[in-house]
Amino acid sequence: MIMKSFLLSVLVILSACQNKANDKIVIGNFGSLTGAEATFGISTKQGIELAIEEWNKAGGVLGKQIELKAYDNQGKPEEARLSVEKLINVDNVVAVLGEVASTRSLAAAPVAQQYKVPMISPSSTNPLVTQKGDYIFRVCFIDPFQGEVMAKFAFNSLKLKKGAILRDSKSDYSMGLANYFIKTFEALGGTIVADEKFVSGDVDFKAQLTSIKNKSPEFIFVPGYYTEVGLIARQAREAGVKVPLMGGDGWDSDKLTEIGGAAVEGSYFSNHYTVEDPRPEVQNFIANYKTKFGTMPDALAASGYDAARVLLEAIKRANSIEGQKLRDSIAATKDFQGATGIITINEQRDATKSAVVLKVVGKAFKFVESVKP
Amino acid sequence: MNEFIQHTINGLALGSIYALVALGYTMVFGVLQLINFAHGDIFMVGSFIGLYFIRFAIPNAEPSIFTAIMVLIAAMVGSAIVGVIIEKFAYRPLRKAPRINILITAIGVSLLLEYGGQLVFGASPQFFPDILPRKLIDIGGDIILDSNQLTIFVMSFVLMQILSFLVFKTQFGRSMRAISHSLETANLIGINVNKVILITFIIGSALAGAAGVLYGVAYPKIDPLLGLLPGLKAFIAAVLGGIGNITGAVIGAIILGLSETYVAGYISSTYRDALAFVILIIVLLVRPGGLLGSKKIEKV
Amino acid sequence: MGKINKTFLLFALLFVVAVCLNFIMGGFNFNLAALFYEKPGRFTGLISPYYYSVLILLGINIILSVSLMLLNGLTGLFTMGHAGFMAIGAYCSASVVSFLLPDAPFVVQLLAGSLSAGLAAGLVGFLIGTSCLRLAGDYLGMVTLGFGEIIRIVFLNIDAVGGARGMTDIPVYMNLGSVFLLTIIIILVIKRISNGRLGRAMLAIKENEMAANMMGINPLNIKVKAFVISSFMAGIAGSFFAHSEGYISTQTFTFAKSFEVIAMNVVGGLGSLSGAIMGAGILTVLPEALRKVQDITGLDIRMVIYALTMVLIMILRPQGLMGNREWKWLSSK
Repeated sequence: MIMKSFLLSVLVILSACQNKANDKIVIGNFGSLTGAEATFGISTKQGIELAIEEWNKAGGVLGKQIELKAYDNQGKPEEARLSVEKLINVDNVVAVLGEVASTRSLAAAPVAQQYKVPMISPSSTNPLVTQKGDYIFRVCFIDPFQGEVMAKFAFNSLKLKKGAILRDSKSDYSMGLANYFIKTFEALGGTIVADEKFVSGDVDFKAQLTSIKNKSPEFIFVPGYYTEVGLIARQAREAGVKVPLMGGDGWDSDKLTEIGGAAVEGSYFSNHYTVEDPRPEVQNFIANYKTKFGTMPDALAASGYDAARVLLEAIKRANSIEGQKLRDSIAATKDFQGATGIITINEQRDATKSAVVLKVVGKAFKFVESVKP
Repeated sequence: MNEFIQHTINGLALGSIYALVALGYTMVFGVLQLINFAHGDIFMVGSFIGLYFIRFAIPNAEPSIFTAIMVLIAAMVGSAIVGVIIEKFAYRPLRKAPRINILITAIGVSLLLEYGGQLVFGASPQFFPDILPRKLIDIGGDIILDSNQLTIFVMSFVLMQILSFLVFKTQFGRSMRAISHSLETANLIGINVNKVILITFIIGSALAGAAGVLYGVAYPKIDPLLGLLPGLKAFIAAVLGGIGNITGAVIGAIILGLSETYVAGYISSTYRDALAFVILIIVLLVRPGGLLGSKKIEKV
Repeated sequence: MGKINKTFLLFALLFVVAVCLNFIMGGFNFNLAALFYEKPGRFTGLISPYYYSVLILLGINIILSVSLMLLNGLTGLFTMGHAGFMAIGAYCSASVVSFLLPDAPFVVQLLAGSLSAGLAAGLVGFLIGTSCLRLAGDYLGMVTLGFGEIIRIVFLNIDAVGGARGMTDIPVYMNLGSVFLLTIIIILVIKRISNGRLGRAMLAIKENEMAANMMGINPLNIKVKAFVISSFMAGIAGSFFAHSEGYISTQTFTFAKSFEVIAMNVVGGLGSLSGAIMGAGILTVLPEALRKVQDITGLDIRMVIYALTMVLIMILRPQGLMGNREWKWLSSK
């Protein structure tokens, strides 16, 4: 009995796992598909899946269909590194798309660089990421740019002089964004009256908000993800804080208004794109994403979508999947019509694109202004 | 002064959330001497059952006390069933095994519920609708009291009283305490150990379910990993008060909630999470066994 | 539990074993293929770099597991803060090597890195050990868990070592060979300790502290020694980790990592050195091997199976896979 079931399971697995000879072009994706940050990894993966599906419907690239290999890393840097090793060495991917969090991108980037496989990060905003080597790219803003955009917007457009910060000490994105925001805002002549911290996963922010309230700032800058911001906004209003909240692209999700409700009304955040943008890239992306997954895309899905499309476009232009040629082709990306804006890859291998500032009105995010890099 | 009062109110509210989770923790520990790491995750399952109950059974219900009670009952029954399944399939086969095995099993079950939860419920956070009529009361001087905070605070004390009554005043409680003293002896004198433990789990899990719903009311964002942090904090609270001690759990939780809020409000929010552990370490080093705990030293 | 249930459970367990086997075979398959055709820019050697990395991680996990075995299995001190010691080792060694000795030769870096890591972790272990001597059982577990988390949060807030971003550009000098060799050395050291005078004293304390005391063993002394040795080795594991990954961040050293190491001990058999090694092997390889299941199903059930396996092993073999036994090369006779 024991022997039988053992042999059976061995057979089942062996037959299912045979490495097929691949006449497809394989693209790798690594992300946190389980664990505390799963929602970000899954969004990104869905964006990538959508892009690949669209391309496959249109005949694939270089005459071949495209296949996505996605590995989970549970949000652990060492697993991120392992999964990229596996993607490159076992699955022979032509390029790697990934990670949302800069920490995991930083852990995995040296591997991609070592084997000269291009890696495009959809949304790692720390400037260090692309400095890991000339095969590492990104299609999102970097922290300094976004921090500056919001600081200038607060100071110049809203004419606010006294700000407070509430940031996530566990998130590199949040810490970095806040640092650059403070730098620009203070250089412009504004003052930061309070700098409070929380940890992602927290649900009670009343203590920090009560302290902030007593310093009476004119706005609160909350760089963080929609997962926390909704609750922060609610508790801010309940604590009697009436000033507007501001944030970055991590806010962009349906969940923000779903969880935050009326509390996020009148808040501002910077983003890659606005749903009001009439460009067909944006409108098609939103429509297709909604049909495929049944929800509105968030910023991470949009970035994943664009990362995949920048890559596929580059493969097509290079007419090759060879590492060096592909790298050069990605680096030459210029005025690419992405869903998240018109992307040009600069010498630092970062994307330069304009940012938009959005205002939360009811359930919608209304366009306020656009800022060129 | 006003700020201090506001911090105190917030701290008490936070503490009573911890208390709700800590009660179940401490009760299961009291009987089985088992750190039920899955407790925080049963708590999570409870809030999701509440959410799905609202969504599918009473989608158009107005927030009212009646709605809240219905959701509470649904979540309590649902979590109790989950608790029974876990007890029967994971813990019961290990009744005679060393305690560290049961601990590892508990961690395994906890991981199972978390990752399983991410598969079943989805990983993204979901909004927990209002089920209680809510009022923000300005009690003068810009101090705001939330009716939900009050409800949860009262609930935690009511549940504590009910549990104390159950443990110290009923026949069932007597059996529970006997088992907690010595499982073998209890068995010898004719107590149906499996039954009592099962009922303990049912009560503990139902408590977790109720706590899950109240948590959703207080912080209307729920996700499959929500049990992790409150679970850990509640456990610290239970140890702080002397694990196995019902009143101790609530007192420990309130102390924890208050000190976290004061530190975040007055000193620095950076080390807020470390604080819980610092308090725990200091209390245990000065008074091993917790604030209200017995001096008995146990071995794993 | 009925017969059918047990058969089913056995089947599930064997399924997992088969997945692991397939994983190992997959490595060889790939290598054979690599001998025959070459892709530009990709590795073509005997062992695929991916398996190479898994093996390095395995070595580090074995060190962690056997070092915890000394405390947990042998002395009976239940601790849940091993990730903290590992974090101290990793950060300390990474700082020493990248700030003080970035260009030193390999041997100097290795010695300085491992020693500083071990000493720093050992020192903290000594402090924690001496302050926690009054505690036993779950309370000790809680306090060590607390220390582990505090250590992590402190590192998270130190900007000099990267803070939330993590520490990058750590010199990578550990390779499979050196990790393998040092792991063997550490295993042998632990074997010597556990079969020697100290090990027997530890065992005596675990079995009956009062009786041990009557026999002239000073339990406090032995317990502190166990703490220091164990944390020293966990620190070394941290150092190896830092210098094979090249990048560390606090996301690695959460209490989940501590639980993982405890699970390695218990799955293998608490108190058995061979068991600690075996448990580390299974719990390191399993999550990677299960990626194939993820491929087939398209669902992220990898961690669900991982958790189920842990529970199943506990139910089917509560004494752990090895129980109290040892492999021949590790047994005392």
